Amino acid sequence: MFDRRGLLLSAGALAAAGCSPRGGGDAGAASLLNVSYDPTRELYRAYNTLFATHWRDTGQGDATVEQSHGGSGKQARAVIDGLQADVVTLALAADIDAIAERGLLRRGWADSLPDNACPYTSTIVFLVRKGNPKAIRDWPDLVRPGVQVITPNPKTSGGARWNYLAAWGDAIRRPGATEATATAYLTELFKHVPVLDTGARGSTTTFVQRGIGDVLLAWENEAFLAVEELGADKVDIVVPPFSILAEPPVAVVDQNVDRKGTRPVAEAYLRFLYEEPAQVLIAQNYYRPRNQAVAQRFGTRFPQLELATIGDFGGWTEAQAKHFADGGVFDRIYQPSGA
Amino acid sequence: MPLSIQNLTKTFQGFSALDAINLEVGDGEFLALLGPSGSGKTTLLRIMAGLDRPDSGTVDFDGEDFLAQTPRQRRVGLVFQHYALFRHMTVADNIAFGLKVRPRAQRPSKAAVAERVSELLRLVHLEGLEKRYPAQLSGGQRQRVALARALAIQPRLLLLDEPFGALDAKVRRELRRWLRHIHDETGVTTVFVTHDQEEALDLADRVAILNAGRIEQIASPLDLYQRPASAFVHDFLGGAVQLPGQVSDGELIVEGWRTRAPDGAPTGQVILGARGEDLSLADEGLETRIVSVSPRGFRTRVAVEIKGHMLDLDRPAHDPISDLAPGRTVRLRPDPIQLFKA
Amino acid sequence: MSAARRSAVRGAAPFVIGVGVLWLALVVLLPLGMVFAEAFRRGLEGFLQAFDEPDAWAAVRLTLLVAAISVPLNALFGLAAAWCISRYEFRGKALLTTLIDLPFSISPVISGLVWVLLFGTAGWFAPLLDALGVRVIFTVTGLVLATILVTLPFVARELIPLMQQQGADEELAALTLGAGPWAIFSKVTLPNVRWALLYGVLLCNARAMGEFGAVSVVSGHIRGLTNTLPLHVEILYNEYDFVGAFATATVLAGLALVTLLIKSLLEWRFADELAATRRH
Repeated sequence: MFDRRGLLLSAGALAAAGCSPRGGGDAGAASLLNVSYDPTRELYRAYNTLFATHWRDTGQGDATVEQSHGGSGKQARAVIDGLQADVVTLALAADIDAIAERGLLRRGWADSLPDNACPYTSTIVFLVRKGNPKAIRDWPDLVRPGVQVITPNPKTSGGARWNYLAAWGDAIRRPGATEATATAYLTELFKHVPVLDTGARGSTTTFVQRGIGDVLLAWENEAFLAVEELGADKVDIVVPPFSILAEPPVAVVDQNVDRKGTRPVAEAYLRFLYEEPAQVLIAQNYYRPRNQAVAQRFGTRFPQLELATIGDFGGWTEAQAKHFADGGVFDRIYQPSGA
Repeated sequence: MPLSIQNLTKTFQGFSALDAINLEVGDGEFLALLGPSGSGKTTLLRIMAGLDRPDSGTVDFDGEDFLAQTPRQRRVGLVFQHYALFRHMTVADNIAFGLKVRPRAQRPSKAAVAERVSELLRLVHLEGLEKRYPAQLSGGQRQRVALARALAIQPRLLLLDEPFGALDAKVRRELRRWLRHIHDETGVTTVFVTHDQEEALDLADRVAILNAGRIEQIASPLDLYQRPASAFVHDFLGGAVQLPGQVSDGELIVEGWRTRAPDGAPTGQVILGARGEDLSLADEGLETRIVSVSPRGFRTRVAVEIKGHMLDLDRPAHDPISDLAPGRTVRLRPDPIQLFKA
Repeated sequence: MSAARRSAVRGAAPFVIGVGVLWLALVVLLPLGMVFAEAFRRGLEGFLQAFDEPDAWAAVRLTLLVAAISVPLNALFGLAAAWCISRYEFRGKALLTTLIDLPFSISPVISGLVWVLLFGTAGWFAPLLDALGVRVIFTVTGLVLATILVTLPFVARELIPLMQQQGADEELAALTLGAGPWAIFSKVTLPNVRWALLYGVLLCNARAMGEFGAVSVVSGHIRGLTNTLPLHVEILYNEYDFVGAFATATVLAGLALVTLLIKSLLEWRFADELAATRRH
């Protein structure tokens, strides 16, 4: 709504009269932009309504939250290029670090909220065709002859990077494993990938809607959502014995909220994610809630499995530099498959 | 209101289109600019119209500096070879255009405009065609509309750029007569560009022959024909052979024929120009071979060859030349003997 | 042509026509039909549900707004460029003509990316924009710029060959008759090119409304704010709302069909004038 005025101005002046969602200008009404990664569409649609109700009920006025979704890396770059996010809720800490590096938010962002600023977690599972015809149960099965694997592109998708690290983590913990064997495993794995989408949602669509591939490496929440939306008669979830604890963090974009005057709302927005009603919503949307009591209630939904963490990789800085930066391991092993 | 052009020069990227042109056109005169393609005649016309500027020289009309005036101030009517009618306007709107675009203060009333349009349509014999579009007219009709349009603004000077070039021969001849009639009726000073010498000689009071950016000669059609100033003019006015020759000591030697040189002839290397109608059978003369004889009713066309030059003679059927058989060699003698310095 | 050859050509005609029709049916009609079939898979109610969402209407309004700004600007540019190119000789004319065709040869994604590189916060003009407090990328302005670049050539390409072929004679005639520059433009030039102009505008409009790649790069995908119709269709598709995606796509298809209909109507209504203009 605030944007309409901005639109007319720029149309008339033909100049770059910037338009962006303004916040805090009108008395009692606040507007936030939440730049998020791909699979959280349904979660935040529900959460935004919940938060708006909460904000009004606590007498703070109206709050509208605009959403933008896309591959995590792509979204981070957009924020750096000027997308006016008040908060970012991305797939991995490295992406938020990248924004912090540009000075848009402070480097200690992970300390501002509990649990390293991750109100929910997830993991990486396999989504297979109904009945699991190719009998895919563990990571080594992915590189069997004739198995086609769907995963997004680690360069743009946060989920893809969790996928990759989970695969690496499994390879490196096998008896007699070395860097060389792990690299060889991942090289082989990506040879089995016919299509690299930019985001997790794109990969899901490729797998389910377009029927390409035998197994989809997916966020756990994506896998559940796919089953729910697209039919339990089409796909099955296979949880491998080992995977990685995926921790998608959230942060306030300091430069933007200070300029727009939306800091109070933005901080409250993120903090409210840790409250019980929000945690229930999170679990309902198939994310693993931090709140143990809520987790108990949804017990059977989230199976227990052996989980590595990003700490095992030396943290995101090291993992990013070693694997995903230009000239890193991924660049060296990935050749576009001829398939 | 005479048009006076002094020392006009124009070059295009090193190519000299007009070279120190001097020209005077009298009030109400009909002048033709005649010459081959590239001789500069269209360039000259465009400069008069205000569509081009010369590099140096002056153009004065009625004492006023034309070059300092805008096209509207000059009040020049221009008729193009390809009509340039406004294709999306009716005939009436085309003709009225020059009146309608005048500034408010000088614009005639709607009724006055309509009146003038009718008057002009009558003048060009196109009454009743007001509502037609140019695409629905024949070539000849379109050109008449173009002329009416140019006349509508009551021009001081009427310029026509090969106006009949796009029309067939019969229509061309008709319009030629009609154009002269219009000129005589309106009395407007007219400059007419063409490369067709028959047209120029037929229509104009005086003809200016242009060659490579220069004026070779300006004279009445008859003078040009009978007293050409140069071999180029002689040749351009058609139907002639030009043979190299020599004059010394009062004697002319041309292609093996010796005769007395006429009084006042140039000496040294000369060119003999001989038109078909100047030639007649003689005992002494230019060696000529008969190539073909084509009878056409009252007249006969005889194609001949003189020392490698082809020439067509147009003779009455009873002329002795018409009786000659192809292949025969005879001698033809020119009278008058036209000589030019080589 | 011999009689045998002629009858062979005649015999081949149904086959060639058949191939043409089949190709058209496969490549155009079938996909178009699929769009409508999918959109109504859940019946009329399912179809209308897609338009319950305010985001969908926001996308429609945004698409119309972007087109409403880009198309007239490109029409003006096309007229000006065609005028220069067809009426004047100047250094760099060939370069200008090539530049006009450039948006056709570069990928639409690049057409969007260049604006990010120019006006993004890390871009060339970032300091200037910051100083002015102005934002371009990820706003509607960015969308308009990307659309303008992508649809730049349409009007110019329709007008340039036509104006070259028509020549300047009529305009020169108007000049000698005393018309000033505005009168020449409005009374002579413009009426002569109005059909080509209209056609170019329609093409430009169709592309402006349907552009995806360039717009996607500069959009920011803010739901309800910076999503045009094509982007909205992508979002719906990615949220497994396939009926919704196709239903929204039918709006795009509908807009295109309306555009073509208007063009046909105008051509039919002014057929005579059209023929007269062309024949000259």
